[in-house]
Amino acid sequence: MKNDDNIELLKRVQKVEAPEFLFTRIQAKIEDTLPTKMPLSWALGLGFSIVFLIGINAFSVVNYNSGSSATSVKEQNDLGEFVGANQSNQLYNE
Amino acid sequence: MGSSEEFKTIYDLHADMVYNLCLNYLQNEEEAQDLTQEVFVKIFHQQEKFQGQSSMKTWIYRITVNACLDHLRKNKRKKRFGIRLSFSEPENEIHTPGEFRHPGILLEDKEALKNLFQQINRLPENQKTALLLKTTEDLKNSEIAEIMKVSAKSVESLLGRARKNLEKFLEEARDG
Repeated sequence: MKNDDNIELLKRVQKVEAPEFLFTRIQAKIEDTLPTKMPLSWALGLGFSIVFLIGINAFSVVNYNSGSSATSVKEQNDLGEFVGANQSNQLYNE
Repeated sequence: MGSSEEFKTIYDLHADMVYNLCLNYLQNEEEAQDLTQEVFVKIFHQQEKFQGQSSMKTWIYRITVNACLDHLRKNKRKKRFGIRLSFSEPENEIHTPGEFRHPGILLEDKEALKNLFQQINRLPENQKTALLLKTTEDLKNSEIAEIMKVSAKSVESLLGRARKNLEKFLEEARDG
């Protein structure tokens, strides 16, 4: 087949219309690829939860630091007496 | 360009062009539909990048050509590594994506065009692109040059080589 014949044959390929459903598919695909937006109520709820958690943690830390050291020492001594531990620093009983 | 009405207008103006070019590259209806979808999604997302340096039509042609070539490269890679559909298939059966199904081809021309497209598919990418844009899209050399970002002289040379190679391949197919 000569080149001219090849070209003529290619020109016999007809133009067709794009299927009608294609635009709907394209729209659906575009929606899938768009970043999803979080609803405002969700964002507010998440924000409050984070603030609440930070608040609770801060409160716990502050309470722990300012808590009576005497109380904790007393608790340790009581526990020591209960198990019969020697509260002296001496290594040998003299 | 940003509203959905504008995008719909662009789609209405260029969908047939994109679809037909994809059909001529791939010669398969389903693949052409998938690729047309891909092209328009890209157009939607890249619309801000379109700065009007070329016409909208040239820009869309360029996106379509690149999408088709990328798709063909992916298919070639799949063929090279051989995809087996299931382990019960014999090892020498390799999945060939896309059978020849082009709705724009008349029945009486089907065998001849199937053979012709098989040989066109053997051409280097730039020769195939130039040939398809010239013959099936009926574009001028200057328009093809703008799409391919080469000079008009280069397009002339590509077309000459494409025709020569095509004749050679067709002869080989006849003799082989």
